[in-house]
Amino acid sequence: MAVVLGIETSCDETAASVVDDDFHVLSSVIESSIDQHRAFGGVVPELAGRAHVATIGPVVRRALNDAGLDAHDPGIAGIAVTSGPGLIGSLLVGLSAAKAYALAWGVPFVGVNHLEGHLFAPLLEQSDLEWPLLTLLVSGGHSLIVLQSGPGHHEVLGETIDDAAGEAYDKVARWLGLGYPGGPEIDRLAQQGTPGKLKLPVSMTGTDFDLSFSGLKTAVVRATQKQRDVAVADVAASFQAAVAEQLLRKLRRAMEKYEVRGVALAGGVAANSALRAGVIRLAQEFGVISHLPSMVMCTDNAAMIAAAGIYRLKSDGPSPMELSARPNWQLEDVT
Amino acid sequence: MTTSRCCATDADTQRAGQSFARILRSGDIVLLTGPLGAGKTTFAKGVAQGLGVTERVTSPTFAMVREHRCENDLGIQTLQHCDVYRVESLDEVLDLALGELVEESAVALVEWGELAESVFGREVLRVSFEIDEDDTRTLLVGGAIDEARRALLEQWADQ
Repeated sequence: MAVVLGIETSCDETAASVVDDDFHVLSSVIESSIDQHRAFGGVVPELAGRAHVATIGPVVRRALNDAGLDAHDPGIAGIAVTSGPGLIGSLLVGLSAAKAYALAWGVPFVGVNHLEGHLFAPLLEQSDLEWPLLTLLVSGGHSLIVLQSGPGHHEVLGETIDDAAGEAYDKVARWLGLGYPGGPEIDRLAQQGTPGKLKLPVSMTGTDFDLSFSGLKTAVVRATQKQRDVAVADVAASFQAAVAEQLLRKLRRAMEKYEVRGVALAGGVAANSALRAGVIRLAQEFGVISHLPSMVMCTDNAAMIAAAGIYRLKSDGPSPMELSARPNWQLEDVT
Repeated sequence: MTTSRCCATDADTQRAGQSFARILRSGDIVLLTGPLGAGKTTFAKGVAQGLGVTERVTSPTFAMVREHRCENDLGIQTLQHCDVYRVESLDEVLDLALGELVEESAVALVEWGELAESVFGREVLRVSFEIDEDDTRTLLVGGAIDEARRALLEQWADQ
């Protein structure tokens, strides 16, 4: 059985994983530098870059060992590495490591789009997936609604016109004096609050599939200045409800327009409880299969990169050694 | 001396950015400063429009720097849209090498740039955003303004 080593270093996480060509995850190691960033209320790029340099070697060795392979001569079929989008300094660490291993072991390597990686995550966890599949991909850096006719064939229906959903969570959390990352903190507080206590506008009412969270972020700032007596839990609940309302309304519209057989969540914000509950309801209503990623698949991980890499190695072949990192690589440009 | 312009709506802020593009020259670094939700990214979208950027301009917070191709008669070919919101130490801003990013027919807009003004190693333009009681934004422009630019800026303020 052919196995591929995946490497992911686009942001916070240094990750490596071994996946076989039936999409079974043989090992997955994720090392996060998030504790170092917590003090700063956001990812600090240079910290992230330096952390990747220190951890990439041990993380790859552990992933190979955990998969029962010899870390000096693993006998793998290839290497898949995130080559964009992400922080340039962080991407370069993973990409350089992947090239070095590829040369040392005499195996091909392929640069993978991080967002396409997220789209492959469901294949690692669920065997009854059906296409066409509609995916809501929401994270700290991205927010898109993607229609897939099959693995590797995707069309971006809409995306954020300003801030990503996770970015709005982080910025609102910072405004409220909560920790980083903002998602889990606001989600936890929202359970104790009442949505609607803080009056927030309904945004993005157009018929397209684009998203917007900047206005909502500003509305929270302004509303909390005007209504100073609203409890933080109620602010969190109101904000969370408004984010979920917009995302689920757009997802519903896409399901009405396109005949799909599955609906999936992906990315860090896929861990959000309001969103998960909403997607389950939508799937039931439309009678389609839903895929909610496990918590470990919501976070950036290398298993999904390996999975996308297995597909790309077969469909496109290896990348050239002079491949460079693409910090702003759009999913639309992946063909 | 500073020049100011009031913007009642998001659309006004975007228009202010669009016409602000006319006073820019290749090599400019413009710091956009002001609180969360003041309109920095909206203004940047307007500047991009004024410089003839056709692709979508979104928040650069995650990627730190987004590069956009421009089509205009100002000799500016590239817009570097940066955000140092995440950055906490000056060394990290030095690593971004913004001075080098604008060397070739480019301008840079830097959100939250006040955190880093001392390391740019050159004169910069500053646009600061204030949110007034009635939700109106006041844009104050200061920094490296020579005589030629002052005249253009006064026209901009009167629009």
